Amino acid sequence: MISQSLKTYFFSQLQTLFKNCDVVDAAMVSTLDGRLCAEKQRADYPSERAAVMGSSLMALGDAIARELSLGLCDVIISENEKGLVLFNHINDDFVLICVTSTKSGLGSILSWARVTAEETKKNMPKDASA
Amino acid sequence: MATDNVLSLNTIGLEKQEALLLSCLLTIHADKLSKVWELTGEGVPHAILCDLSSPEGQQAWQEAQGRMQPIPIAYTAEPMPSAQWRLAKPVESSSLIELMQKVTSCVGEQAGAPVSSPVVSRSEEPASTSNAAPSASPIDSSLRDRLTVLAEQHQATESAAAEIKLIFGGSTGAGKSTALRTISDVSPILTEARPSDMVRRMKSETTVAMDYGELTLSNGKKLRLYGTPGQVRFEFMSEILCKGAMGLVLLANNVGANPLHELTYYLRLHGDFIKRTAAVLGITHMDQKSSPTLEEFERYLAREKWNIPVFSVDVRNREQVLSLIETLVVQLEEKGHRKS
Repeated sequence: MISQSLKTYFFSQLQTLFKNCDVVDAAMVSTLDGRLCAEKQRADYPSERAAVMGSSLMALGDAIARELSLGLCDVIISENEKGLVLFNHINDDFVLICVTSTKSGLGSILSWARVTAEETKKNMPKDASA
Repeated sequence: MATDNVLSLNTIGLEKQEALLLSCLLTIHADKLSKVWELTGEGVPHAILCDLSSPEGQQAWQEAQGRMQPIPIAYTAEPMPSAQWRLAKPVESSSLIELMQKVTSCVGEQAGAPVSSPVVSRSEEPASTSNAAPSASPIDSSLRDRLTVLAEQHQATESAAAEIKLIFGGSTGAGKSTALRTISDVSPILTEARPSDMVRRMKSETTVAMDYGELTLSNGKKLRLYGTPGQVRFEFMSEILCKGAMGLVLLANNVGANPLHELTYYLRLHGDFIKRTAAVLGITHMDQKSSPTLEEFERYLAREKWNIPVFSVDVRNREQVLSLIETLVVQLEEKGHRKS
């Protein structure tokens, strides 16, 4: 089970992401088995479903990377007609999902999502796991 | 929970196969851990892993001889004709993935076809449950031929480029991934994650996107086998995977809280798909919990006006899983005849 303190920790990381990256419209942290832990939005995306789908996509990314002997899957970029979605592994248990409707914002969101995932992993409470 | 020379693992809720897989994982770390391991279920050790390269392992092995419980597992690189279970020590060049693939395929096959890999073997398999599905021969040319005909008819109906696929659906812990692993001609692709909810009491990994395997048909084409995630929140994957599929192998976990209630959900989820194609229902874990009985499932399906054959199945047994597919083939053939 995900503790409230861990959810609060994730939320604070998302707040930092929002401060640093002005193109991000929504960000979520979910478990790798698809349960939403924290979210922050400037829009109104269906975050629960995005978390579930994000976990499936991340698991597929992991499977493809494994199949092709490409090591671990770090990030999946979904480039769409009206925006971008990024899926980053935080660690073996958690996924960071970032959404932007600014198509030119790939560089910014890619960079900040990576930083956020790394920082979240680095500062994660020691006993945290999904 | 480790003592000086024994590591006891509580494996409540795990099947012996899963406990064995766990022991294989421990094998990787053999040098870092103790030499004798016990795997316990519900407080009673049901397996003891004896490393025969160590004196304490040999002693434990000697003491375990002749006992039915706990099951002694010899961990050694040497042939052990007297061993009921034997784990071969991993060679240094084996990667974790290679080893687990071998272990997985062996465990999947152990109750059915002869085991070819030396990593895990078991000399004898206990008799299957009395409610077992009717036995069928291993997937022979006849079944492949019939699947080929159905696949060609399916492509004629859908399109020549349509994917030829069967779906394994059903409740969490029913054994969809294991069933697929048991019969696939290729090493299956699994997308598993560690459960973060109640499912973790049932198993250590759960499917979050899909499982994928293949059977090669008589004409060389591939019958693709897809396993869906069992948890409700992943139902969007079922919708994606079922598009254009030929039929459904539905599995129900009889140790679930309310198997008939769960079945209601999956019949609703896959209802349109089943009406378009056909389905067969396999009830798993009946050796652990016999209620609801097969008759109760049959009565339930009849009351709900579903024409779906029901069997008890051990998804680790290749022949039993193939029997389910054969039954599904019969259903599809009958449906094809009715249409024509």
